[in-house]
Amino acid sequence: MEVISSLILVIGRPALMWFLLLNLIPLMIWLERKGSAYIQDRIGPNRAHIGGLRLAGMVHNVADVVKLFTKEDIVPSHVSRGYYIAAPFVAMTVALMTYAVIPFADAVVIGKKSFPMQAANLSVGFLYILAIASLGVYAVVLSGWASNNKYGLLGGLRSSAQLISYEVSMGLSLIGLVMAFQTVELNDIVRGQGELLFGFLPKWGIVIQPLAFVLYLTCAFAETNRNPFDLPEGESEIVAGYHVEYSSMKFALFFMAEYVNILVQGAIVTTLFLGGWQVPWLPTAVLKRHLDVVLPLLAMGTTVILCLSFVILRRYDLANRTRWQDARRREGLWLSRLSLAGALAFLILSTVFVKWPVDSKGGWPSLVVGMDRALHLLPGGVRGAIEQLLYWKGWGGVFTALVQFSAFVTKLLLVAWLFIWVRWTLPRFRYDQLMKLGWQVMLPLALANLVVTGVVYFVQG
Amino acid sequence: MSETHTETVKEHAPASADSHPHGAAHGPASPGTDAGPGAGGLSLPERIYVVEVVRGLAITLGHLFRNLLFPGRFRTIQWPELPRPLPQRFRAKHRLNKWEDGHTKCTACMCCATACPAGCITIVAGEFSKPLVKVDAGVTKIIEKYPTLYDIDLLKCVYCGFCVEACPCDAIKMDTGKFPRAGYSREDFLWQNRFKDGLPTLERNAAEA
Amino acid sequence: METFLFFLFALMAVAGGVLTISRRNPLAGAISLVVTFLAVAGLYGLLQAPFVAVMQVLVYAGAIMVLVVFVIMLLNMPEEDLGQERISRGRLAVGLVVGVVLLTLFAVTWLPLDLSALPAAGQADPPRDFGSIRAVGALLFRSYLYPFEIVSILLLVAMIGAVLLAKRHLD
Repeated sequence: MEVISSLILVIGRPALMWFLLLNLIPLMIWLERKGSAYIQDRIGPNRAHIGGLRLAGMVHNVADVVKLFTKEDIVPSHVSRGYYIAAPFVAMTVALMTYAVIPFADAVVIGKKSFPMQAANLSVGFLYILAIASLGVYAVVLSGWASNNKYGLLGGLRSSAQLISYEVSMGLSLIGLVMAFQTVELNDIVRGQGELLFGFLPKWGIVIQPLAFVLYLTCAFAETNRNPFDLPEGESEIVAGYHVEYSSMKFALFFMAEYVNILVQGAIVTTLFLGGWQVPWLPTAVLKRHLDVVLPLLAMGTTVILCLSFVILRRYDLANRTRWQDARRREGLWLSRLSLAGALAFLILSTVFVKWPVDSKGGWPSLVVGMDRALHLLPGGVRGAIEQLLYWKGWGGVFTALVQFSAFVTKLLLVAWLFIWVRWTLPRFRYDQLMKLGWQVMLPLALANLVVTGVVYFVQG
Repeated sequence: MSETHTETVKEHAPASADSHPHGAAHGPASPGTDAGPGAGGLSLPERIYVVEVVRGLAITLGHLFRNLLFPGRFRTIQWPELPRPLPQRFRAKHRLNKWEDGHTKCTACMCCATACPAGCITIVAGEFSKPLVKVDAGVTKIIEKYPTLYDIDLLKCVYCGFCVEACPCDAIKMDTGKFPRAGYSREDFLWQNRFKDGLPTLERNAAEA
Repeated sequence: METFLFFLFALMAVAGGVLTISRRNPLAGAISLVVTFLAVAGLYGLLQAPFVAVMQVLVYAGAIMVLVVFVIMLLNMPEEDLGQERISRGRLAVGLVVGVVLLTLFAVTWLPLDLSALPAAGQADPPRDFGSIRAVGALLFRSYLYPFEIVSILLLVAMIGAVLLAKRHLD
């Protein structure tokens, strides 16, 4: 049991991270499309469907994937071949590497072993993130230069200048946090944020370093080349900038890397400023003790959110009911009925049957009424194995980690949504405005924040 | 901070005009460069920019939630499932009017073909074996001619409606509400009519849904 | 594993270095240099100095080389303007002399060091916080505070000098 569990945890941690990150990309693309449409009073994607199922435009991602995979992969004759091909891979690799040090739950203690819930537990902490993030510019520069295209070159130039300018403020804005938490290790920073300030306020980074939060967020926008800092792409000025010569999956890699970068920055902002995996006012020990309350509550919350979203979907469908005379019309109705039924079942299950045993023996058989009796019908050997699995002591830790993981993902998605929201609100900066903001506003503010923080902590001792 | 933004503020929040009066001229307003107070007509909160960012975000979020909660508000027309509502006098694809007994009203007088500025109407006249007698609004008409062929090349047609106005017998109308969509050949856009003794023998619709 | 990684990084570093000086295209050279820096960072990592490794990536590969690449791209020299590299006899002689002097200096500095004072491989682990940020910080700001501050002032002077030179050129 111990061997299996540790194997699962060792492989499972990075696997969970990749799974989360890569599967959030389509969600982000959908959010971007649908969100931007609603912000601009449009309907957004609603056409692509598989047998009438269109999931409010989510199916468009499938169409995109098919399209991008089957498109001709053009390598123009005028490019520097090696660098041209390498650039999208650099973009994606760097984007994915950053995520290695982000903790997504508190360390799970099973028996005597403790498993930190991050892919790599580095002592240099967020310095690693800064270092890897600073390499991201090479993808843009290489692609821009290798494309042998004036727009590409301009995009690469702009990107490198922009990243150099904003990396300085980015690093400086984080030093205040180091002073506050006395460490650079991300997991320790998150643990530090579990404390309470004045007895009621969570000691999150955004609470003790609000200016640093704004500065870091601005730098994160610049770092991910998102509006209002999307000068390297600037489609109204330089077409698409650095990836103008790319097609097919090479373009898709750039496209995906952009969203991975958003998610990574969202994860960093969450970890450093929004308490990471901390559920507010519920430290890990308390959470573990009260799983019997928290788990049903979480289930109910999920159900309520699901119901709400399907109610919205249904309303959307009903509002357009007379208009759609094809198979797609039925989808909203069916989907909402099905999911309402599922949600109701989920709700009933979570309220009636879930009874998390505190730290007595227990385990899962007592979760579902009659399950222990059903077990007796099985032959002895099988029953023993199943019981060993069900009565395993580690479940409490695993489920605690799961709750914290969902808290983390919720915060991460909120920050990622902020990126989309800002993109569809603000106009792009002019180049001189970008430079002035970076060097004459952000840098002095970051330094001032640093000095004030230092003085305060010096006086406090 | 950018000029675009200043204008957005003016557009969306007329109430802000009294609280943040910007000067009449907001000429070369580049937020980073103007240090002096009131330079470029930007007030202090506008120059700090963060306040304006938050206001902009509030506006976009407002739109998002309004559209999320009231999906009926969209102005989008679900074409082609739902055709665009046409104005009453919209000039669409042509239609040849008939008498109640199915005889065409057209007498092959060539008025429409003459009036047509594009020259897209082709008519070949024919003679009834026995003249048609019709009573229209109390007036007895003896009709001897009908078109054996009545073609309109819809690629040439400019949909001006002159043919309808020229027609003395109300035979041609443009009130079908249809308009040609896509076709794979020129023939797809040729609207063909054949008649024998005033009765249609063939109508091949030009490319339409 | 460690030996394998060491040779991998060492090979990368040497290959990158050779490519840096042998490629005629400036951007190719710069990218090769980045590879060298990354390999050296990997070597630092193997030496239990994660902080130095990260700083190597952050400062050299991530900032300085980006600046170099930026300048190369800003100039964007066409291929034919690059100029031919000619190895004349005089240059070769100068190069040889400089090389020999540098090697001698290196030998004179390092050979007298008593390598036996270092712990043998696998014998003793370095202290727990060896190479950590705390240890490096303590060294910099306690033991070597004055050299550190002097270096920072030197850098400041260099920066001001550069700005002054550029300004005068502009006026």
